[in-house]
Amino acid sequence: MKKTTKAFAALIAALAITGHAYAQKSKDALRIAFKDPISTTDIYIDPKPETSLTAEAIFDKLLTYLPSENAFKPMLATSWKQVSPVVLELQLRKGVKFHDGKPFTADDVVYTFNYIIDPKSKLRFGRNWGWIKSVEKTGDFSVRITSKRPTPFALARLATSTPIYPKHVHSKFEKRGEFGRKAPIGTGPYKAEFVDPSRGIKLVRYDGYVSPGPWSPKASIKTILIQPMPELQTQIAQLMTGGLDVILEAPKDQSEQLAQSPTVKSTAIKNTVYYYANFDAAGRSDQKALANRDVRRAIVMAINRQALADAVIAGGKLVELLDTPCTPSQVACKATVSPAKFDPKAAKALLAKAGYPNGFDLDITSIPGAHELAEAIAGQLRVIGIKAKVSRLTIGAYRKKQVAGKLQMLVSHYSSGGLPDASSVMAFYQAGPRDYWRDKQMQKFRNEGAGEMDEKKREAIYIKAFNHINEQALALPIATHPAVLIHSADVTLPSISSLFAGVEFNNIKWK
Amino acid sequence: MTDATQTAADAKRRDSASDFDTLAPSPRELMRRRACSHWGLIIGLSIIAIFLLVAIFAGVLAPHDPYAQTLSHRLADPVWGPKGSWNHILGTDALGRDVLSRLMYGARLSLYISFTAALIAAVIGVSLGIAGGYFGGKIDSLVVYIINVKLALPVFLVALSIAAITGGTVTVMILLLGFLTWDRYAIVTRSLTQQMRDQDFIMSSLAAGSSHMRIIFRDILPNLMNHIIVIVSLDMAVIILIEAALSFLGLGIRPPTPSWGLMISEARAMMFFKPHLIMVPGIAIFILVMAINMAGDGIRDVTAPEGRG
Repeated sequence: MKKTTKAFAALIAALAITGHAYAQKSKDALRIAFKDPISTTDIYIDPKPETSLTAEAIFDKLLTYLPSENAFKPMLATSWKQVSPVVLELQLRKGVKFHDGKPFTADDVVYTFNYIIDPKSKLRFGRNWGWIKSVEKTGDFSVRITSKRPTPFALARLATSTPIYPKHVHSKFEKRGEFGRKAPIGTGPYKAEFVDPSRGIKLVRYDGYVSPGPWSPKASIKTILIQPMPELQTQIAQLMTGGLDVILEAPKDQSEQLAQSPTVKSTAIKNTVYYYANFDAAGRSDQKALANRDVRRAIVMAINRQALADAVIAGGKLVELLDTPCTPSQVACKATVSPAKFDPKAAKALLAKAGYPNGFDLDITSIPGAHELAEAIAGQLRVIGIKAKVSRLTIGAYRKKQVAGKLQMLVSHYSSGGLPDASSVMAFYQAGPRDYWRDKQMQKFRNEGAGEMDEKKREAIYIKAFNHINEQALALPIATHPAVLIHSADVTLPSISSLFAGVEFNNIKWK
Repeated sequence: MTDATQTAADAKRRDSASDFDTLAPSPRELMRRRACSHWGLIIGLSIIAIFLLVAIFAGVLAPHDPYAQTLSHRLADPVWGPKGSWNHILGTDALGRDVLSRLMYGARLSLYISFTAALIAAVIGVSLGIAGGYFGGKIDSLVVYIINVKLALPVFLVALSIAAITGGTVTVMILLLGFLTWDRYAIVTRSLTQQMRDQDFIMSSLAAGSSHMRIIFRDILPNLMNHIIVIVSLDMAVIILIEAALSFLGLGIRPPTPSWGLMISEARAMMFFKPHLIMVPGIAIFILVMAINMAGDGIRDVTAPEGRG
């Protein structure tokens, strides 16, 4: 059997070596696989992680957030000023041209915002821009955004998944959704040659791209070919045989094993994604034990987060344990109280004190990408007598269960939608159907923070909120979840990105 | 004729009768002889017996708790691997759980689900089959209609949908698979009962005043038993495969319960690097399903050799 294993390893190595003889560096074409079906490049219509990668390549936003400097940087806007708590004025870049050669002006900005704030557009995440009251043109290259109320995260929202579309192209489509598939014309570093559900997407470098600064350079690689490939094992086989150059979202074991090959590398990229667990503190599900704070704390104390970070979560040294349900690179993301420390003996005693000396049955729900972590947590909870089973659900099934109030415990990951601001998580505590905890204190903190324009004061409010989460064990922030990409050794990737699904294509280079 | 002569003649008759018995063994003896010389049956039953023993005594035989995970000892090599040890003979999985122990407990689950689901299917199918075949008329028309409706259902797709809606628990799996695989029993028993109901022994029973229930349970059912056992064996194999497939797709048994289908599903991610993790439960399913099929074929050959072919 040793011989068989060696032979198998040799075969893999041989495939890798021969395969990469055909690597596409010579053709200056990078091939990337997408797991989800490809239907559009329009992030407003199809707000999926993978769509954010293509949208970022084809379109430009007004500004961007540079996580390495924790600062907002200009893109299509050259400067901005908060004139009053509800008025933001922006100066726009001159000399920028869309991929079809038409100039970019303030009309395009006003048109785009009017489109996304119009309820008739029926965008899935239209509420993300629900704070905008109006957008007016104040000159050919200047606009004014008026919000309905003071909105401290306004800049963060403009810097995240808010691309500007060409009025002259987008407005011609009776069905606006067709724009991202049939004529995705933007001002970004790549132009789309075709968007086809079966063939994928072909992006070609836009030589007329006006770089706003080193944070968004001109594209280095000439062509990007995105191929639909739903099965990870197929992607790995393709990478090993030279049919692919980059795999997104590689789990820990695969990335570590594949990186042992001399022709393959694994790169972890810092982002705004993190793993967390939620508990049904409101006691709406079938498991009423979770309404007891001691039970929730016992669960927190039974979970060895460090062991999970070391053994289950991909990303190596970039994986950090968290005290907050947000990542340190996000604005106003701080806590001074940590979650209860790992101590299974004390957890068992606390569980007995709460009236459950023999534990209880628990249903843990997990979403794609968190299944293995949920199973590992189920294993850790068995030590204190909690017999947990994992329900592996799709996002759709999870949402239904959540709305029905049937979630007992959730193990999941959250990208914050890429929003570089802790308000992304606080939105979940706003009283309403999305608020799973129904904790009055948290609702109060959320409302206070949402209207506070002073960053220091808002941070102080959020510190109280995150401390409250840890004290009451409403949720357990587990660890950061860096994007781990497996790729040909010919490719160089940055180690930090403002995107949560991967990396900006114009920041990828050949070695 | 004297009494002595009469006694001698009787003794001679008895002797010749006993000579006849020796030359023509009883049907039971014939069946025993066929069973002893049927290698497929012997091998199949032996393998099933081994799996059964492992399943029943998993608690004693398994070297570790199948749920116990040691994250620091994940993906340990099996004993034949470069870093393998006898502590984990088949190595550990991605969460550091002992593969051999999970395999043993998985056998318990697979056999339990397949046997109980096959039993439920048998009860439903045989009841319908006998009712249709024996009573005929409108009852038979209704049974045929129900069988046709069932045959029109794509078993796997229906199982997938219901498992997705209800969630995968052992009870759900058993009921689901039991209610989806009874058609074979119904078809076979209906047709055999139809052939049987006009035979002399049934007519005699009716003439003697036996009730329908007595005829069904005392005359018909015992004559169907051999066929039912064969179908149960084939059905169990099918159920094991469907359960494994559902668990593989994430719609069967919920983790961390040790199930062979789940083990394959979880090992899929490591198929290029730790192929034994996917091969071990795969081989277990293959061997058990093959053994059940061999045993089923063997029982058919032994009990109804005319049906071979």
